[in-house]
Amino acid sequence: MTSMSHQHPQEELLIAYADGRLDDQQRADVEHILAQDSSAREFLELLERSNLPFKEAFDTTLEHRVPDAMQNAIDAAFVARPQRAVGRWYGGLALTATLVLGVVLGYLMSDFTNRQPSEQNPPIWLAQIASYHELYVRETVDAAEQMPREHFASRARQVLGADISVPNLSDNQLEFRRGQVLRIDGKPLVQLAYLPADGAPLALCIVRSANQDRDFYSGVSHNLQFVAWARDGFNIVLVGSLDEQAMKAAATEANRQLL
Amino acid sequence: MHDPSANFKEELTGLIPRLRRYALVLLQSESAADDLVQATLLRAILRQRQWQADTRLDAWVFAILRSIWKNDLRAIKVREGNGRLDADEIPDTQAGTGERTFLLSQVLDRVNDLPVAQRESILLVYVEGYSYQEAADVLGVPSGTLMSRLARARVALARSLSAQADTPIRSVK
Repeated sequence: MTSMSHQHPQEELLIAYADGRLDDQQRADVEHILAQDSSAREFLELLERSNLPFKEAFDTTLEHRVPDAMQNAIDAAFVARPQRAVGRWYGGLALTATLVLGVVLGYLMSDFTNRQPSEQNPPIWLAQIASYHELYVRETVDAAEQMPREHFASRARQVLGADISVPNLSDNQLEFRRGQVLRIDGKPLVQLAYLPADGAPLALCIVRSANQDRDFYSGVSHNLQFVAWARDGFNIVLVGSLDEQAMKAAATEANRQLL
Repeated sequence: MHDPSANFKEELTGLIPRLRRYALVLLQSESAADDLVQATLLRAILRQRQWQADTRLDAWVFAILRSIWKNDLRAIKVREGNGRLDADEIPDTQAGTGERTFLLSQVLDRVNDLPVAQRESILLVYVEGYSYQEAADVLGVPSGTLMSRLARARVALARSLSAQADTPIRSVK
């Protein structure tokens, strides 16, 4: 009965030999060792026994469909690059911040699609980048070219299949800057970014929903104030850092103009 | 309009399945793995300028993933040693039915039973196909350390196989 030695002074060489990764000279050296050393032969036997179809096995675990949240995250991060880049690199943190807005909103919208996000265990990516949010979000949105409301409105109508308008919130001291189309749960989500006089941007998000109409419902999620409601087959949420009263006023006005 | 970042974005997106696989080997939980991958993608995008276009993107991104796993994850419970997937976390494999499928699932189970350092050594060298030195670089260890982990892993696998005498597994290259 052979003893199975679990170590060998030349195990590195023996592994490389078993894996076929040695040149001719090295192979000859190893074969010489094997001829002389029975413990080397025993070790090699262990290696041959464990020469398994690792790649084939692990290839069966490859999942080729990319989750929407991940695709959103990448799309949002790249869309955020400033148009006028000469001399003004806001740095990767600016990308992160816009990303926070896009992705946090996606996370928030999941509250309305009957999933069970865990407030106790926020996703790691969110916890990681939340600290960048306050400083850089404004610069990001400000740097982008302002998009005329009507240009984006026609895209939003096409995406949502309804006659929506991009609200003009200048009476609430909010300037429309840009619209984006993201995805959540496989459905398109329209995100409208507004800039207040100072401070972080607000976002108004609209997604199709089977929910019944629902009155304004406000709260705080991940340090962001939100006001949400549902009407005419849409879930709508306004997210930002204004105080609750200002948020509600803006939401009321947005709702008046939206559909 | 030429966008120099378009290739980077495409390549990065193309890596997602392999990133998720690696994260799953490390964390043995689908939800935790996806969190880790999300954080990795963000950091890779933030640091795009640090990547040199003539070097391997996959190795660079794997190293980021490892670094976040190693240094930044305190909220995630890492299962060491006999980490097994929870029944409701087991991802669907693309494998079908039959003897070959059974063999492959046995291979997966046995590798997932190894300590995490050995699991990822197996993954990098035999699944991702890196050279010993490339794998050691991703892990941030000397190649001798990587080889030692491979040796421990191979011995453990061989022993677990010989212990199950009624299910002989033919070794295949």
